[in-house]
Amino acid sequence: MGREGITAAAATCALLVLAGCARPAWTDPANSRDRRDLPAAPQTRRPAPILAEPLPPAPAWARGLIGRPLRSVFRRNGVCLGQTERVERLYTGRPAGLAVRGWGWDVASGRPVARVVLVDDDLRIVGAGEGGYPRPKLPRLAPAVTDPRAGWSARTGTASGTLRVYGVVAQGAQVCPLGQVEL
Amino acid sequence: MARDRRTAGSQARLGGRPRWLLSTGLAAAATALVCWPAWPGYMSFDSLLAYEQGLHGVYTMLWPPLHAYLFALSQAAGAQAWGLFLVQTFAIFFGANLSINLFARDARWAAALCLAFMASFVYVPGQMGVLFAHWRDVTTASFALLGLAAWLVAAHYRQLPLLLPAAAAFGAAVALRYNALPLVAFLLASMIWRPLLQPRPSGAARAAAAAAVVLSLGLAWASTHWRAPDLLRMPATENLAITQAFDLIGISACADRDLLPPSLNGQAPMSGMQIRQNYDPRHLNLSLAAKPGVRPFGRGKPDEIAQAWPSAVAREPGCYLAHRAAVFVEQMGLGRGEVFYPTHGGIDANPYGLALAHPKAAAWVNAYVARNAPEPWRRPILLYGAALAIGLAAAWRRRDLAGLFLAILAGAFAYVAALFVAAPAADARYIFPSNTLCALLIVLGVGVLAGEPRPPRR
Repeated sequence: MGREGITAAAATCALLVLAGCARPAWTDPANSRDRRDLPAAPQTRRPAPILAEPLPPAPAWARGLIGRPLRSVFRRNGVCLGQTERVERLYTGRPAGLAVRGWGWDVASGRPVARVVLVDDDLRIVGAGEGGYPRPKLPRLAPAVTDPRAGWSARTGTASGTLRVYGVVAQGAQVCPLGQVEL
Repeated sequence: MARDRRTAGSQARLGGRPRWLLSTGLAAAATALVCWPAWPGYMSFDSLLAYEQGLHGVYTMLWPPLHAYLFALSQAAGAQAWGLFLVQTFAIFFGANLSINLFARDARWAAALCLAFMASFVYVPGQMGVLFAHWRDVTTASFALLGLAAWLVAAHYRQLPLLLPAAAAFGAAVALRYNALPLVAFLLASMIWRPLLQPRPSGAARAAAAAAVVLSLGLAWASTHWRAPDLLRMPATENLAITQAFDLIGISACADRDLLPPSLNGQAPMSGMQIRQNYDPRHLNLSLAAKPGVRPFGRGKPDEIAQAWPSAVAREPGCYLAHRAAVFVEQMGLGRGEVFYPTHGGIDANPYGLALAHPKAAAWVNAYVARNAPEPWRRPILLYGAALAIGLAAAWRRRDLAGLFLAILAGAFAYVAALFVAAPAADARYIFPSNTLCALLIVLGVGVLAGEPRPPRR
């Protein structure tokens, strides 16, 4: 093994030397010659309007679902394109709550998501909503979306934690994730 | 398809035998040692997502779905997550042991080499740390080694039909990671060129091997476009944008100026210092994470990122390479600091009741990995240096099998070469499959170069 052993040992030593690679100097912010700080863009999005009204009731189809574990109702996953955009409005009446908006597209049927459910950190259904809201720019941004009425709005009495949104598809047999929002 | 009679007499001789009991027994022992402390297998976000999709159905192709399907099989068998953990671990050692035994004439020498392969996971602690986790990288390596072993078994028994399971295993390896093809491409090409490792195979044998390979790769490709079982055509994913976002941040940091699209810099220019404050070559997510007192990046839109990437690379090609090199140094464990993310260490919070069965044992092995992974002489890069030297030497010594050794070597190096341009992070697990191939090649090569003791004359 003489020649092969020497070659292997030399390669090993070279690699051990290389193992001391330091981070390049350009990764250190202190070495930057650019301006030190630049401000972020001003926030153009208005805060969610606050309404001194009670939270509207959940849609009739969803009232029996509130409080139930998601997977006890919807065991299978569908496939959607979509996004949860933001908290849309706050309700300060009794009961209090908030509305969330976004958009959703059912890939299997090629149609907008018609119903959504909101789920908390424990994967329990805590709210619901419906689709059909106009998003005129959406087909240009997402070519697979051929109907601009892919927006949805959903409501919940939950005020904290992570709110996960699922579209209800396949005639109510499946759900597909549509994003989440931190409250 | 039948035994390839025409060249049976002049076939490259591997020299050994499968020694099924020995291969299985040692693999079982290794599996027990690995699986017990980490039972039922560490699970990170990726792992739990695949587990969830195994339970409820695939809904995204952002990660190749075969991992979810394997979890589904494990769940259907009543084995939740531990079934897959057992199988993927066993497959690595069983595949390696079979290959080793097929090369070694003497059983004791074969056992010693098998133990050396097992020891490589302890010597390079990052290897062991990754092995504890439900990561697709491990399953990729499992199928790659099974594919190699199945091919060598086919060659040993001179049975062309046995190339089907070999091709299927290689195809599964490809199906598990979008960047896995380079790992096995050279092996697949070798398998087509010399299906049973014979010097002059028939055209029919090559055609049969090629058909098996095409079928398996076709199924691998299809699995990432249509989901099972309803064959729903899945929407395209934006994996490329993830790497491109990392590149844009790295290029901007190196160039000390903002080359980011509006969605990534929050609709207002950032200074070079601010970008460098955020930039971390170990992971895109570390770069994007909010840091106290530091202006963060925006969320980034895939279409804007894809549009900005080519011009940024064209304007700052040196910085593109510098950023990629910085990531690669972290990836290969070449940095002065710690090896990045050598193990997950536990099971993330989940609604499935999955929890570590032996937390004290897990803590002990985690501490071993954390303590020893940063040692310079235990970095994964050494596997590549040793594999290069020993693999080339073994190919020179056994020129009848040079194609096989060089295919293993080329696959390992091509795999990391692809990561040089494609990796969105520097997790140690990303190079686990190629590390494992290198470890196997080292052991096989040592077996060839050292010359094993001749079995006693009877």
